[in-house]
Amino acid sequence: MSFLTGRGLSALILTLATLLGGIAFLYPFFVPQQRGSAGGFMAHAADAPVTFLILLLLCLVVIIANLETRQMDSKVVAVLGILVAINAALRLIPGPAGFTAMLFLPILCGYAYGADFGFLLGTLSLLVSAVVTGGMGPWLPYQMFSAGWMGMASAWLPPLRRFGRVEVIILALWGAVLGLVFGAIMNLWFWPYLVNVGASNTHGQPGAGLWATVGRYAAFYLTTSLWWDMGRAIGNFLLILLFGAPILQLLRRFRKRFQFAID
Amino acid sequence: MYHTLTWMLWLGAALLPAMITRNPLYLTILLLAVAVAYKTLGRLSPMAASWSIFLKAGLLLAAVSVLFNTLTVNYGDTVLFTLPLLSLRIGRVPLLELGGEITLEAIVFGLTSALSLVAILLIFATFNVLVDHHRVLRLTPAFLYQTGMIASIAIAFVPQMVAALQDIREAQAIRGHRFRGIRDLLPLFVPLLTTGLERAIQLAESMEARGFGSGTGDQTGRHRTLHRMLIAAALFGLLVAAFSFGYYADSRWPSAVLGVASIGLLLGNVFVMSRRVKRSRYRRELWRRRDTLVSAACVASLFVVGGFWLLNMEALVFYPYPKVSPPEFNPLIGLAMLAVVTPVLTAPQKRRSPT
Repeated sequence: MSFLTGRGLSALILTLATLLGGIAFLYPFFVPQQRGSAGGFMAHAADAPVTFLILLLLCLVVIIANLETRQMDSKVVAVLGILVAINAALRLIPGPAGFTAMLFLPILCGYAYGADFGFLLGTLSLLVSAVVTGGMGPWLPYQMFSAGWMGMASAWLPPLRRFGRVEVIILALWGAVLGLVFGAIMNLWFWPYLVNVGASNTHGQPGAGLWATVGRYAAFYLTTSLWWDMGRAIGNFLLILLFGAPILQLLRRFRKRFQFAID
Repeated sequence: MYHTLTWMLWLGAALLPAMITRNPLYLTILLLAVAVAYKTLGRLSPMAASWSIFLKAGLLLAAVSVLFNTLTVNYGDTVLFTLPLLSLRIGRVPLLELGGEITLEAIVFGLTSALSLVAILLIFATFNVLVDHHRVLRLTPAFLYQTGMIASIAIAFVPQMVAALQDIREAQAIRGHRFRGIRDLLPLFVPLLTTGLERAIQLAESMEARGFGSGTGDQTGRHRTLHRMLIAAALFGLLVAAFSFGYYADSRWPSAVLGVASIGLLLGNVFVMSRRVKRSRYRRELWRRRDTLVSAACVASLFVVGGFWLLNMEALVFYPYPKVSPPEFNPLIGLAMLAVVTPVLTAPQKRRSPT
């Protein structure tokens, strides 16, 4: 019973919500590959985008609610608020193609301050930036989710501090990979509008369903989105490579001053 | 001009049909209705300029959708002409086939998808241009007050941070710093972060001094655990529903019921948890008669479209494959699409005057 009340329950909720969020992102690849006679299946494919958008919103609320069941320290609230503000301001820096300066701070903070911090920083930065610039859209839950995941996943990297200079290089490569992944999953919100999801084995080869869908997505990604996302990946790489070390040093110095109790 | 809740209902009433129907007749009506609202009400907003760029990007994406469908889908009965087939394979699995038989069905499917996408973008453009975003943020459920607080701190500090960046840039310029490449951002970044974190310490201290975190945690531990267990159960139910929805595509009722019940459990929990948090308001928004009118129209539209969605989905679906046929038209659904134009009809006269 005690397992179910404390951290175990928290981890369970987080896992379930993340799984659901993953389904919401990836459903275009898993819609059953059968063409029903009429109605039923086609209808199912047609209402999938709205169903999964609602699902994603619910998951976001649940994950955030799960993170804040404990009373947060005033310092955590203040630091998160200010870092979110800085990150939203950094988004205004223009750059080539898909470049954005707002992903590297969640990555570094997630790595230095932990998964919860990274998730909230990533998620709230996108929300605040959308509020400030007036850019709310169907993509916003997807953006919030993926940026939050990036901050969270960065906390799972092993501590690399003992490797010295290599730490920043590994983080920079990690940032580049995440920049590409961010682009790949952000395309998914409009992917059902580009192709006829579900009826993809239209060439008459049964069994090629999932792979055909993935293949078409890969082809679409390589021909259009990759060049755009390259800007973001290279931007992340350079930003972390050049500024990672001083920023990490700064974050660790302030961590001592704040005596962070977040974990 | 309208209450934020009215705008949320408007967004729902516009977005639901735009996302679930691909019937070109309904989508055209919806698109025209939203365009009227955008043109008459949204033009006065300063944000309209940035959104018009966005809408152009949306048109480009729509064009890509038509092209991509036309070239990669060779399915459908009405073959218009045949292009040489460009095939990309890994082993025996066809990865991508471009060209081949160009069918009317694929073009029609691409066009309806493009229509739906443009409608969604235009709906969000109108919503963003007309709504007050800070008030939207105030609609966050009360039990998320800590996250809401972080977000409000951030929103309050964004202008300060932009100003701080400007100050730092000027201070560095006096010292002879010039911006030549990405490397020169470092003397801007590090001071910005340092001043930001220093301000965070001050802010935290002043929050402590004003008694932050002393009296809001009014949930007892047992309640909290119960809520979290129920939330976990609801999530599990949703997960099962999502999987069974995919597996048993023929009989979707049991999984739909399970899904709706889980969502109900989740929302009920959220509601009860929010009730436990006491929140006071300094300034309330006015709910006027026109809000009632617009909300009533939007709720009626949601009711009609939602009813068709649950009971008779086929009335909303338009599917060109395998052979394209003219779309059906149900006057009731067509009328429901017009609900999104009510904000224009009930808007105060003097604001509606053309400029």
